[in-house]
Amino acid sequence: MANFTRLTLVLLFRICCWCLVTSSIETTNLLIGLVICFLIPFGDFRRLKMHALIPEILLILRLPYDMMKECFELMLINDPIDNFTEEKVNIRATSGSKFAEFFDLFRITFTPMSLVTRRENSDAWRVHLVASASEVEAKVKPKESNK
Amino acid sequence: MTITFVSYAILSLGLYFWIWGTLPILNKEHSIFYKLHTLTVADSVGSLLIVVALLLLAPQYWPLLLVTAISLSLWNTIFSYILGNISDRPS
Repeated sequence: MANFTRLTLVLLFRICCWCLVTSSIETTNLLIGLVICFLIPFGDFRRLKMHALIPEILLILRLPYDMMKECFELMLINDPIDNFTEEKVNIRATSGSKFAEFFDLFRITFTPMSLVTRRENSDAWRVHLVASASEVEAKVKPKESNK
Repeated sequence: MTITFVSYAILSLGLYFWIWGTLPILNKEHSIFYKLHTLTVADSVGSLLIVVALLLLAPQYWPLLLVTAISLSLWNTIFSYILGNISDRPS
């Protein structure tokens, strides 16, 4: 049953791509698309990790909101400086699903305030963030005065 | 009438993001990473807003515009990562 669901999802994805590329959802076009979808080799769809993939795809739905919010945040920074941090790789992405790993990277890089530059180790991404120089200074000064 | 007004408002915002995101490229004081961030504003956000505005103006072309939006999102993100990765390599 699980394999049937995987196969159905792969077919649905392919037929969606076909309909978008051909810009048509007529019955004849759908039938041609279905034949082509079956003719393309399926690969090893049994290894598709649904439990890791579906939540990652759902998380992408909130990207438009994050994208707009971070866009204005970036625009408000007048004195930008580079700030590298490490961000934990999502637990689902470490489960061995390449697609979940890609979606995790995609979610971080797609928004304007963060950019993945590389995989630091198996658990963390090296992420570049934009910080405000004056804000960083304001944070550092109280720490120095405490010493 | 309202849809036309809304679509032109979104189109204007997209164009503003395009200009705001592209101009820092000319500034030599900014790092390559900051330029990649501002280019995300221009290429991803600005372009996507323009595509959304066009979708409101010409909904009959939705498949074409949807393919454009998906392609833009994927390619811009992948190229940002590639350029960021190349720039962050230890010399």
